[in-house]
Amino acid sequence: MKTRKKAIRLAAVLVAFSLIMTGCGGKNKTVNNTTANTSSQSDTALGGIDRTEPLTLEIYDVAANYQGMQSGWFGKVVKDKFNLELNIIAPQASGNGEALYQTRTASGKLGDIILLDNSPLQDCIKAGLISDITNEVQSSENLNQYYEQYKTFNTGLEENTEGKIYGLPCQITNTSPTTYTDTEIYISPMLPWDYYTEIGTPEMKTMEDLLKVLEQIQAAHPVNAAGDPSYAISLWADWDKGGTQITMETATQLTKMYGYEVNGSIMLGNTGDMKQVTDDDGAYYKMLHFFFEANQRGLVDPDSGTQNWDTACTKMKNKQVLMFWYSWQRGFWNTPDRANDRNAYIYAPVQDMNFYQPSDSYYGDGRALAIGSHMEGNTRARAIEFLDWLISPEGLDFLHAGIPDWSYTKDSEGKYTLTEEGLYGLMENRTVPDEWGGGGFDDGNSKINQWPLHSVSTNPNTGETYNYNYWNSYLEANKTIMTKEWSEKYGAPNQVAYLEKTGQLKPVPNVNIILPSDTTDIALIRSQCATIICDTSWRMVFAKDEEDFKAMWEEMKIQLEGLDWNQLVEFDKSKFEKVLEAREAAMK
Amino acid sequence: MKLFQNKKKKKSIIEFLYILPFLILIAVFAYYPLYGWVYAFFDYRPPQPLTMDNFVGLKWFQSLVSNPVKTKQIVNVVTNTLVMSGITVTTSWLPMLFAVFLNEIKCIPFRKAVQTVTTIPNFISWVLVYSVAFNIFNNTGVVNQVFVSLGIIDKPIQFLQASEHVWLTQWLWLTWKNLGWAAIMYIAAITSIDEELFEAAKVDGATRMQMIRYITIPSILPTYFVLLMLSIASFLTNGMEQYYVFQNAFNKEKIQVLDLYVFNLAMGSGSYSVATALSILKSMISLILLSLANGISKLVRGESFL
Repeated sequence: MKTRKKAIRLAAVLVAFSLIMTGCGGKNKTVNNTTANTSSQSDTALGGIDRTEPLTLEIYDVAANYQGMQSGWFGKVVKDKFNLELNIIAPQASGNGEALYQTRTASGKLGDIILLDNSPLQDCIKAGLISDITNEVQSSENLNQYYEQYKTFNTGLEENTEGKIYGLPCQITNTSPTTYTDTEIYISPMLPWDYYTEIGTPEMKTMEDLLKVLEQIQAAHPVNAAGDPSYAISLWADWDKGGTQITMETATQLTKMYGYEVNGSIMLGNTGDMKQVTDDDGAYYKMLHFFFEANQRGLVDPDSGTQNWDTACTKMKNKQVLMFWYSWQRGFWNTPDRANDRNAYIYAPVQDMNFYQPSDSYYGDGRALAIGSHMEGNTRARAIEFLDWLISPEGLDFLHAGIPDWSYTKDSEGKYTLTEEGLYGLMENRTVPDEWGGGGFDDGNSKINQWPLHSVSTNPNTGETYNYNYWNSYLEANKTIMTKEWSEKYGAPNQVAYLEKTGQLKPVPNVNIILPSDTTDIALIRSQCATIICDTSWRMVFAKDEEDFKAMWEEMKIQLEGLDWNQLVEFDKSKFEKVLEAREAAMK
Repeated sequence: MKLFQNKKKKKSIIEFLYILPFLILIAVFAYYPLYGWVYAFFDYRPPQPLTMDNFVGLKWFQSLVSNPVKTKQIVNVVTNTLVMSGITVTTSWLPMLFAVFLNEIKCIPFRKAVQTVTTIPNFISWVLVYSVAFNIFNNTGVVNQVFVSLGIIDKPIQFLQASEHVWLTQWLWLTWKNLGWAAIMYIAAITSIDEELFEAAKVDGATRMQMIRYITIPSILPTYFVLLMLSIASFLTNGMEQYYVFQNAFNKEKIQVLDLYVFNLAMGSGSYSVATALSILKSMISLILLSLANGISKLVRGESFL
């Protein structure tokens, strides 16, 4: 008996304590907050949502690199505005994403808000884990603006011809399916301008010339400023075999410099053709050979085979890697100050390249947000309200531009200007003001790590893009010595303009087709082939000589035959036929 | 109504209750999960639930050896497993010897220190071990730096990327991690040896080496054999974490053991059914090995442990 009494007492104390705590966390805080927008504070907005109770939304998020509660400034914005807390569940950061996905789907609750790639989304809808949110989208202020795009995407779901809305594709734009707004392309060779000009900016016609240039640069700068060895190319293996990819990821990305995008066992060309990744005259082989050649000349970081992304990334931040190819990699090094010293990375033209670049992701980028099917009543309304806010100009400004009056300032015409804090906030994790909750900007940045609307979209409040890279103020302020020299030399204001002039860029129209996911048989074949292709690719890069390189490739093809490679190719081909057809239709 | 007619029955029931919790534990954690074996006979694909529509019988078992390439892969993986386990089993006397010599150290603080230092690695996770290994053995790591600056080599050696000596290096890592831990059993066994034996031997003028040879080692041999049998039972289960963290494209052919293969197969692609089929085969083989080991022990030493 005694113990029972004790337990009751303890429970009573706990209840009282939790009441006090929620009292603190709930309404009291919103009195002195600076972010709350009064219109959404009224409890009658959007059909009388009750926000008095704090609510934690579980977000199952395949894009997140962080697992746990959203903290810091963005967490505070969401808390103050909606009394919501976000618990991010990140398969990428959980150590074993597959297992996490499996156990959570088996339990019937993947998450309150779910962010998935198209194929798993299709599977989860079939398994009844995803809510139909057609009505909510239509009655929401912001989501409804993109209803037609959402409908186009959802009509592609199996057995959904009437176009009920289940998934909200991410990264959609308000431009058009054939525009390319960006001024940079996703994959292209970039070199430090100071090093490249130092050797006299030799003209490069082919990959062979690029290797020669890299060789010269590395010979001139074998170590970085700190005295650590620098290499032209540094690779990492932990991104291999992501999703349905079965090839060495770094080489896979580079094929986009020669007009092809690898998708599983096949490559899509920017002219609408299709090849197998194992074709001897294909772009994938070409890129492996490029890495191999580079390694023969000592241009590949010997740690490549054993290091992970983090280690490689640290080297990029220390100028130990002399060639970048992802457009976002420049963020690890480039700053206006450095660009004025000409010490920054910029596109180095190679004449025979022909770039594969999709247009603006008007219909989305292959991932979608959804609401779990267990969500009911008030919690469901609050989750929808949150998603609606995320795609509102206010929410998007937080996601894309950062903290108002700290990351950027507004002038009298409502145009934005980036501040120094805004520029370095993410890179240096600068401390945000106390009224925004303090802490580092990067730590407090949205850990959802995915955007409902792409930053190249036009912000109705400013008439400019959400992305600060295209604000007039930014473009003016960022005419650095490097960009001026580059523009003068190549006779174009930016990379895209230059490539359009030379005819090396023909953007591929955007389509967002929900592709069928693998059957178990195909999944098994894919997995076994992936192991062989990735392992062989790595060994080929570090092969002794040309003969060895070729022998490995041939041996790989024989082994793949034995693993039913042709079945996999057939499967992928029939899958991507639809994509090619849709692209052709979009061009008409 | 009397529930128990006599005291004897009552007593036995109470005694049964003593072991009941452990029986439940075994049932829950060892037998209940066996129900997961059904996945091997289905075409299972999360998030779809299991239904009889997806029943495929022995398809996955057949698919493991359906053509020469796959068979070769399985053979390669099994070879790796057997070789690594083989090396471990044939060197399993090392911890015993280590314990014996440790016991000979007369300076107690020093002995304790050595024991602590050799036991600690057991508590370091493999992931951490790999990051230590990476920092010591990568191209700009300590070892290469020292060698290059001494002029022994002019280019860094690719230690972690080497496909040679993988079995040996992996065994060295394992030994470094487990030696002290495995020796604990033997140290305990040594302390339980009757002191009078040693005293009698001293009186007879035995040297230290002779004492080790004729008293210590024979006394702890039974312990050694039991542990050896147990390790044979888990011959195919030589862990996965170690090989998982050390694997890369260059050493995979040598390092991929059964458990790792199952993991790579299932987690890399969601081929849970195939992975389960493979695990079932593994369990079967382990059972056979254990029975064999038990039989051999009966023949050789006249006593079995099962």
